[in-house]
Amino acid sequence: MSEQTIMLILKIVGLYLLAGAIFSVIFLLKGLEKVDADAKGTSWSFKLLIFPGLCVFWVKFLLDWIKVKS
Amino acid sequence: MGVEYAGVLWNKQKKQYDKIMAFAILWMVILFVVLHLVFQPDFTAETLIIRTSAFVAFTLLNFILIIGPLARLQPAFLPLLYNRRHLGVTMFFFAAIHGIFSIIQFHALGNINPIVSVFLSNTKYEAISEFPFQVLGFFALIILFLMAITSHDFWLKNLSPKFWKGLHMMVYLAYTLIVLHVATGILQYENNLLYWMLLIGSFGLVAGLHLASAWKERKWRKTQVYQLEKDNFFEVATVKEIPDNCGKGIWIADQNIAIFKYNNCLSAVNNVCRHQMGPLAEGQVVEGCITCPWHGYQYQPEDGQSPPPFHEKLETYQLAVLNGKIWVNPDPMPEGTYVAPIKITD
Ligand code: HEM
Ligand code: FES
Repeated sequence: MSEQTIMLILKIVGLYLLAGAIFSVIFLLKGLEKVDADAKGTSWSFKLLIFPGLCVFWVKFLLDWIKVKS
Repeated sequence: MGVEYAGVLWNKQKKQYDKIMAFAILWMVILFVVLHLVFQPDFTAETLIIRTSAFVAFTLLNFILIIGPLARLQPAFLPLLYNRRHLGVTMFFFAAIHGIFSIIQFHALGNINPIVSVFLSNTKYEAISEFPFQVLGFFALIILFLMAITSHDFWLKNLSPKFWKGLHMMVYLAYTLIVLHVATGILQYENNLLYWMLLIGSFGLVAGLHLASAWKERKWRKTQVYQLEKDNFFEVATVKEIPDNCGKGIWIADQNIAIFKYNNCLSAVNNVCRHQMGPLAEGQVVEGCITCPWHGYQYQPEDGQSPPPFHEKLETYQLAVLNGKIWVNPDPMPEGTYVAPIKITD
């Protein structure tokens, strides 16, 4: 693999995670309790703990959130 | 079942385990640093950090991996099993320190991106003695990272137990990569006997214990040969052998089934707890609910459902009793299906 290919992959991964981080902040403030009822009234330390995972698996939660809304 | 999520669940017992873990790690660090300074004093602080964190992470990983088979061979080790999570996350932190410092030390000085450099600074993929071993460590670290960030129970539920289990089974892939990383790495950096002995010894221990526990399980399954009556019902136990409010685990037609006796009735559900695969048959029926022996998740025996407000569901199975013998149909009913409990007459 060339330097360009690896850089491209890294950039795509980076953008995906960045989008995930932005989504996750909004999701933690507004969506979490709607998608998982067990998460009602959980502490900020819990939210901080799941934040990195949300940045990676955010697409799944976006879809869940859309499903709950409609 | 499912409790409301809290940040980190620390109870008295877990704090005790974490204290022991912290002390053990402290001693590992001291031991490694002292030995290193005695035998190889002319090394930089960065190298010491890279090697100490590698040593701690690798030791913890080996320890974590032998807990499973140890607990299967000898139930006295079970408490370690329930406390594996904090060990895993701690192991990841040490592995991350090692990986990040290695990248800074070996790749951050040039003018290409340090991560690109991990892949391109050495491309001799056909050579064993000069293999780009850091690439192996890199992929292992990514797996460990994904496991660490999904270690909270929230992830087990939201990613589904099946996906979660699959993700966390990748620890064996990570372990294989790390063993190869270390082997090809010490070939290049520290080709000395002690390192080889430690590596081969720990790999042998992990592999050996897994084989031993698989062997034990296979032997046990072979003793589980049941007679077929008709309509796919198999005779698997006697009513008498199950104490009141207790269960019996059986393995039949690739189904892991727990049969429970309570209130003069019998019910059967899947034996695998939806929380972390705990063996339900080893739990008891408490206030009408099967209670997992590991962390206390509960299920109603007649339909395999957790009592409201929880939503976990187990597969259920049809039973029959004839002349004091219990017969089971190993075809699972869909999760949460009500199956009328069998009354025990006599
Ligand atoms: C980005 C990921 C990683 C990189 C770039 C990396 C890099 C390195 C380097 C450069 C060495 C040789 C260091 C030396 O001897 O001076 C090494 C050795 C080693 N690595 Fe990694 N590694 C990575 C991930 C891991 C992971 C995840 C583990 C898991 C525990 C691990 C365990 C070890 C061990 C046990 C050694 C041998 C001890 C030593 O010589 O330091 N590495 N690694
Ligand atoms: S495995 Fe945790 S409660 Fe069953």
